[in-house]
Amino acid sequence: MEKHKQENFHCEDFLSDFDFWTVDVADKLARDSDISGGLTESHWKVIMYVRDHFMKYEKGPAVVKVVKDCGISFKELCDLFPCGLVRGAYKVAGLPRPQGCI
Amino acid sequence: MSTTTNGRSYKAQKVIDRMGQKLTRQMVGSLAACVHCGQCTDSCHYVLSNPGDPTFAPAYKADRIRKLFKKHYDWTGKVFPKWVKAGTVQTDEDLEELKDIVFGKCTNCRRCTINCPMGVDLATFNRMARGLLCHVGIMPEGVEYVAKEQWEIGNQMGVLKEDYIETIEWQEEELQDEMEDPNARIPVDKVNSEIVYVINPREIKHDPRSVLDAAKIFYMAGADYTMPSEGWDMTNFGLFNGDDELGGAVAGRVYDKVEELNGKKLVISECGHGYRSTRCEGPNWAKKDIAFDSESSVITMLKYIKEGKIKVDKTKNPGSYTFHDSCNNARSCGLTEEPRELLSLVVDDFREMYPNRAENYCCTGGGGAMSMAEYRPSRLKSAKVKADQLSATGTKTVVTSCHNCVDGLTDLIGHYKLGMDVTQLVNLVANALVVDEKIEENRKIHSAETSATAAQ
Repeated sequence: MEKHKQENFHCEDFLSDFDFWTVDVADKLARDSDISGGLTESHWKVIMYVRDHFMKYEKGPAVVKVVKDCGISFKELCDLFPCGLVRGAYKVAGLPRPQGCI
Repeated sequence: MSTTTNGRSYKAQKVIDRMGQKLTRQMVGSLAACVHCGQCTDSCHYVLSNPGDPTFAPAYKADRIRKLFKKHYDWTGKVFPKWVKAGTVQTDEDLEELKDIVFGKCTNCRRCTINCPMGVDLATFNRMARGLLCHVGIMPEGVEYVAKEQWEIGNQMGVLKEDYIETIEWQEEELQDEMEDPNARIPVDKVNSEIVYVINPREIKHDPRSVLDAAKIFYMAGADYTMPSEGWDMTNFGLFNGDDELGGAVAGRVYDKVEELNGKKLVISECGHGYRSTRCEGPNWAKKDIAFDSESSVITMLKYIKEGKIKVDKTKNPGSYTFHDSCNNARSCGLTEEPRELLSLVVDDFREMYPNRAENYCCTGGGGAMSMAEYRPSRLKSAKVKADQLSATGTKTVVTSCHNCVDGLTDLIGHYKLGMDVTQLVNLVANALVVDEKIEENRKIHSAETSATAAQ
């Protein structure tokens, strides 16, 4: 599909352009992040929270913020995003690869 | 590009000039001693995974730095420059090329060092070269970013103080729930504590399970400990970018806070470079005499079991396990036996990988490589030998005492589809804790307290 062309993805398969993100792209990123069975309402709550946070602070939120503000447990977060907060939730939410050791 | 009067770029001239200030006796010994015997070649995981590419050979990489020393600081380079391969850097492009070698082709793991008959310590002068380049602003973007976060915010992931405190409070609530003890605490800034416990920002920012696991162990041991509200990041990008000033500033923050709290001992959570930086290198970088003890949390946990302060049941950790030695722990700090002893106490099926201990291969994400996204394809290609080594153990889980190794190993395990899990000793010790009696006791106390309150 045209919109999934490789040049839109940065290293480590994070999206290179935050604004390029669409629901369709999120579905593709979810499949790449070991999320089987498609994105549910619970996924979307986390995804939109992460995107909002990034738009405000230009950084992904700390895990405590995601858990508290989305009203889920850490275990539930891990079940939703098996690759973890960064390679799971951040990536599916279309954030660019965070700088630093991940 | 602006140039000096001799036609060399200002940056290149600065690198050469500054090298002269960094040439310690140890450095000169390593720069002068190489006899090009080639014994280092087979010790490097980059070479072993890329056998057809001689540019990965440690002696080749070392010569890219050594040529500058020969040309500008060693008499042999002045008398017979061609014979000793003296050379220089002339342009910013030359420096970029050097950057790709010192950051992109070496993780400073020191495996070549211990296999060198002449004692050439490539990792030490590779770090020096990184420092020279960083000083003129030439470094991978990720390294620059992380160093900036450590300078400006005080930890390498830019974790804000309120997020740190909120995370500790959150984990304290989890501890109270798990132990059924509303009085269970994760103390912050408690003065005169026996232990000040410092961690890796990754534990706060991304995955706080290790904070809770450590808290459970301290709780069950009845430890008198605290976590500091500042100076809690024991990782140190000064080790990776070769900047002793940054190294000293980061380690100094930790030491200052321990002193302010009058802590008796600094306990460092499982992180190879953090342990080396905070316990071994930091006092020199910070130019500070340390009056308190320090140890790895591995030692602390082992002591708790040996002294009977905590009880563990290894049947709670079923499955097969192997142990990966972090380069900084094993090769640079000699921490090899205690992790194995501890692991053997909390799992039944522990199988060594080969080679191991100081001869182990790097996780391939060391030396700050996990922050250098541009070199990831080469890093993963060079992880082939590590993947084969892991795979040969036939185990399901690889255990390591290093957060950085957790990320490096996880990345290569995914890439090579090994299907293995990665965990740390703190997770296994916490999982093996015998807690039922304590919880039952807490339940009785809590129910008695509730009844007494109701009666009032």
